Amino acid sequence: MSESNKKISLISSEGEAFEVSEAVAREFEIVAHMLEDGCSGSSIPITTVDSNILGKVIEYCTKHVEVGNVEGNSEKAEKDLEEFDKRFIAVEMNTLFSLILAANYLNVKGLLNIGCQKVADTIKDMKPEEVRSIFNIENDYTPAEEEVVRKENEWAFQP
Amino acid sequence: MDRISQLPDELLLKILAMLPTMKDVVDTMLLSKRWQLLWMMVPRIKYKDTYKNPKYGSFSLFVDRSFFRHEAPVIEALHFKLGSICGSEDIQAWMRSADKRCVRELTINIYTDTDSVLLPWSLYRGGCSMLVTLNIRNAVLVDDLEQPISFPFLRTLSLESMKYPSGEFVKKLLSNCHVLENLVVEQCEADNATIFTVIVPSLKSLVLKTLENKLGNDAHGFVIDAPSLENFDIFHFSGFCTFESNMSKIVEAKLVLNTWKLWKKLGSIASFKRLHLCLPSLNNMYPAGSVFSSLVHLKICTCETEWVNVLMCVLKDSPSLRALKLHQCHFLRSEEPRPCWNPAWNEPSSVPECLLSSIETFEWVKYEGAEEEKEVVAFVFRSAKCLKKATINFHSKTNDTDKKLEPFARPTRRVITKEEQDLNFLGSSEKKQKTFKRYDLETMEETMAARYWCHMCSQMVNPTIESEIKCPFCQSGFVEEMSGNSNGNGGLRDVQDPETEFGTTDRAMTLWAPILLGMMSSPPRRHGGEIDLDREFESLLRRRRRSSGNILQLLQGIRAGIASEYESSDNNERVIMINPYNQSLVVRDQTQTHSALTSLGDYFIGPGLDLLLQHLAENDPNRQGTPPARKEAVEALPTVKVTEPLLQCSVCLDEFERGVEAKEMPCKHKFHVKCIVPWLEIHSSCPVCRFELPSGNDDGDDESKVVSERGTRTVPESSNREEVVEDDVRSGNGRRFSIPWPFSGFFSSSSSSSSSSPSSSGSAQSGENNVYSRSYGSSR
Repeated sequence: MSESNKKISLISSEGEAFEVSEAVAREFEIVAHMLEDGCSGSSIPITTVDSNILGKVIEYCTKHVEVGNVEGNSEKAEKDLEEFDKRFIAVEMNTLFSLILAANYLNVKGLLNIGCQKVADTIKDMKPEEVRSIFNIENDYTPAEEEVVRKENEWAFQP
Repeated sequence: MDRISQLPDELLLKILAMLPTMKDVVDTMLLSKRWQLLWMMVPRIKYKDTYKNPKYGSFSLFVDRSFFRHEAPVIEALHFKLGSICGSEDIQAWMRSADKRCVRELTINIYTDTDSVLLPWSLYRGGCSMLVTLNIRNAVLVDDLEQPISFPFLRTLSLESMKYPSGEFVKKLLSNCHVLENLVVEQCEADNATIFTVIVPSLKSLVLKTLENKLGNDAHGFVIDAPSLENFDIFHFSGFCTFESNMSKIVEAKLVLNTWKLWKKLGSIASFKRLHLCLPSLNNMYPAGSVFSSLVHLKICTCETEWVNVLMCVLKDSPSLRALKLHQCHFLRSEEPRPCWNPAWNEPSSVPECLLSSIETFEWVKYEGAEEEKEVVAFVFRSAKCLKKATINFHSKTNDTDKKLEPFARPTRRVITKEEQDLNFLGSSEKKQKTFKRYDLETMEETMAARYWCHMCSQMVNPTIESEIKCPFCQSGFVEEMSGNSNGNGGLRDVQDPETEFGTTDRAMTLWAPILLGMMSSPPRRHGGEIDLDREFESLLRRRRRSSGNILQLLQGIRAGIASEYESSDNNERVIMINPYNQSLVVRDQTQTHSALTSLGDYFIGPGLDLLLQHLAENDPNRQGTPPARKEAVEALPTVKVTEPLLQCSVCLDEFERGVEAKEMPCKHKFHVKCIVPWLEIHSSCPVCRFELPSGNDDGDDESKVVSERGTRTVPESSNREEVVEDDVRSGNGRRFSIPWPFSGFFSSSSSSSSSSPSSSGSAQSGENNVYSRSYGSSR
């Protein structure tokens, strides 16, 4: 398995190089496709992701590759991984959205899922006003417009 | 900045699809204009009538309107979870409106015992003919066409508590699912399918649950023809079950049976790799002659009275078994006395081959300490020659832990306990939490080593060997054979360079004792300045040797852990486990599951262990720790905003989010409010540096107590703590381990936790690869 030992450099938007094993780089589906098409050398520029976020995404992928490689007690490994994901994604909103965008761009499915799930968990059971304040969403409805929306969709907002 | 609204639609829809119900999704239309129409495109629609809308009118109106206005062309998932407020007509109407859509996954769960919901098959034409997954629960299928609809793409089908037009209908239905791979069937009373026929050549996984007490038993049953089957779970309590094909591809099976008839058929399948068995009492019915030559994992339920006999029979037939798990996954079925241990099993000739040659892991969940259970544990430990790891989970129904542990109190065995909450024990349906105590047992290969360690005297002894092995000094039987590949000088190794020993031996656990002792009496002197410290340490230790036996072992563990962490090439990690009852501390080897980057500290974290350590600290009269802090003092602590990046709360070990509020101790250590206040209600000291706040029973002022900046600490004379800790700082290679707060109650020095307390690490030793800095509280 000489291939798995191959190192690949991922270059962040600031130009910083992150050296990772090929197995980890392949967790980024976008990179996996590049490698399969043979259209890239050993260093791949990831121009839309900055160093901080790229480092985190690599941390996530490294952990998942490692755990995926270990045989044996799968229940425990899964539990550990869940625990890791939970801790990993407990970041402030700004980072969370950067991670989601990076995961979407790089096509790291697992990370995209836990990122979106985290946002969904934050939204659920909240009143619209609360959601707005958590995510800094500007309410661009005028009071009259909002009234119209509520009226038109009365069925949705019955107590 | 509003970053969420800037996400592309695709991502917002993904987020919306993850919300628990359609109601949550629809609510987002009020957020802003950006969100007004998004909800209509959400690809997963989940309706639950149980959550907020108990009224029939408002719920059915909600479903009608929202489903009518929904526009996504492909519906990935459509879920209905309905209680009693919706009837057949509602669900039929909704299904019709799904007609023009392409639905991939449909779930209809009906939670009501009274009215039956009728689902005419004709509804599944149109949009639902593209279904990949179909789950229906508690409804009545109605056959209103000559031919049932076929599902050309259906891969997963679950029919739980369903009623059918006839057995013939089921047969036709299933034979029209040409790519079906997963099937779940749960029988219910009066389901009209007297004979349930499963003829599905593509089927890979099948779960069958028959009725517990079905009347008219033998007329009902299953006929199964599934030659590609790989996973087979059957919960069989009544009726018959015949297999038309030989099913030689099954690798994993869960068999919960109450008759031996089925076992006779399934027991001849030699391809099993994993088996989970709950088999009825024997009455000499166990068929001879089956051999599970590929069986690697075996899990046996201990709920039946004769499970021990079943276990022994299956073990004999499984020559290559590697993992054995005993698990009481059902309630005990009867109060009948359980069979006692059969003395014949102690004969070497009757020890199953797999115990002698292949079993490596042994696990017991819900061990209760009954006679026959003790015998089984003793037997396994006696005969399993390749055992590497054993774990026993206690069911804490009773408190006589010591009694339960009897079989393990033998030389060469180590008992490890870890209290933990096991939430999953009774399955997800049972929300009730149960507390278990877990005992991990480390067994070690028995070797010819003649050295013993007396746990009472905490020293090596040459035991007296009479009827049992005893320590010659204290006459106690609590001696442990120090196994191992000890070199010429017995257990006492040359300790000039201990770290070369660390990690070089896999079975080094017991060897740490002499190494550590040796190290203490002749420590590596690399720092001239440390000699005095070492001497003092040593004499202190001598004085306290008796009671410090435990701590000594913990130190071994830390050393061993550090060493293995340090020796990253070596595949060992050690975990320290503590028995709250006898307070023995034990090191446990682990096969390395992740890279050496993992800090040993990780293993100290965890709610169970924290509790335990606290319990331990509180139970020992010598280690009460500081009294609770005075309330006023706690209230007076300033609340500050955390501005430093990457600052960690040493209690929960989470990083502070920037700008979050934290309590700051006078020593400048910061903690989350929710983390530090509970601690200060018990103790007055800082979890990191032990700076003391005025305590409840403190009259004098504490202002004079000073924490120095260099890691040495002045500890008040009144303090009870005088324990010794060894602080291994490997600043040389940048690898450190941190010990969270429970340890501060027990040690006078915290180890260096680089991010939380930059002042606490002995920076004087940086650059040294192997320095043992020792700091300790002043003795009385």
